[in-house]
Amino acid sequence: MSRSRRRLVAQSQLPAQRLSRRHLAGRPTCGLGRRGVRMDISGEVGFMLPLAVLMSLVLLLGSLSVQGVALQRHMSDSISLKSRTKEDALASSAQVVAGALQLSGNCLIKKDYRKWDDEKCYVTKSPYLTGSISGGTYQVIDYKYSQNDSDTQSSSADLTLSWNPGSNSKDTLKTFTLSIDSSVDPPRLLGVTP
Amino acid sequence: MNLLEPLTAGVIFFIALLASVQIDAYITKFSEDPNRSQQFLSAAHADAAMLISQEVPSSLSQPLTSPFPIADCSSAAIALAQKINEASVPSDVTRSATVLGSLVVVEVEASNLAPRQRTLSPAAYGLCSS
Repeated sequence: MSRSRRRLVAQSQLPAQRLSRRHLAGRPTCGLGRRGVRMDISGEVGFMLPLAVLMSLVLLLGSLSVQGVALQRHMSDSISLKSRTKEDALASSAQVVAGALQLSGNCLIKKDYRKWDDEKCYVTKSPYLTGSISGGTYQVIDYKYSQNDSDTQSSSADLTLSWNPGSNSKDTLKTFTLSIDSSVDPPRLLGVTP
Repeated sequence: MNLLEPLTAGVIFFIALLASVQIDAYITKFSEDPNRSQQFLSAAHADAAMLISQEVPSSLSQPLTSPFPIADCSSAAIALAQKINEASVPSDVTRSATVLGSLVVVEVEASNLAPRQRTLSPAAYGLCSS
């Protein structure tokens, strides 16, 4: 092909290429250029909605979990305030029973509260094994005596009590440890610890 | 269609952000409630006052530091009540120890809280023998 003919062909193709580019940019209906534009746009928009939903969920779940922790703490605080009434009632019951045990000293070293039933051990009488205190009723559930040290004659006993505030409520159990000096006769109670 | 999707995403995220901020504001307001803080401070002081009261008979059971044991439990209860009333308490708490037969009833009252009551037996600490 001669040089002048090649120039003629090039000039005749130029407007068609321009038209084609303009056509692709404005109305992307066919060709490689159209496909490239659609992929970019759909890629950008396609991840925005799921990302927004995901971030919203993370935000809301985070806030709700913090609120849950705060409410749980508040609930446990309220429960601990209410449980003080039970603790006070049980501690008072333990004092009454332990005081009676000290006064009839030979009860202290009996292994089982079921064997307390003798003349010297009046803890078996009302209101010691069961009685009413702080608007509820308490009951001796168990008593376990144990010799801790045979040389120093120190011993202890676990006293388990239940307390019921009444009106179909559940019993609350608590075990108290009694420190006993068994080197003296009758044995002497040194203290009650929850 | 292209504009609708980011707009929807923005609206969803904005609503979630608003809800989250409101929840956080509620938690902050709830946690910083002065009445609630005061109530738990009072409860702690009441606990302390009750523990101090219980420590008194334990310390008196040491033979070297007290006139105990006393033979009569009613007299021991009177002496114990006196010792408990002498013991210090936190400023926002009132405490009274009264004698009920051979027992001592300790009542602790703190502001914004129901009064608490515990019974102490001098015999339970070996402070009397009959």
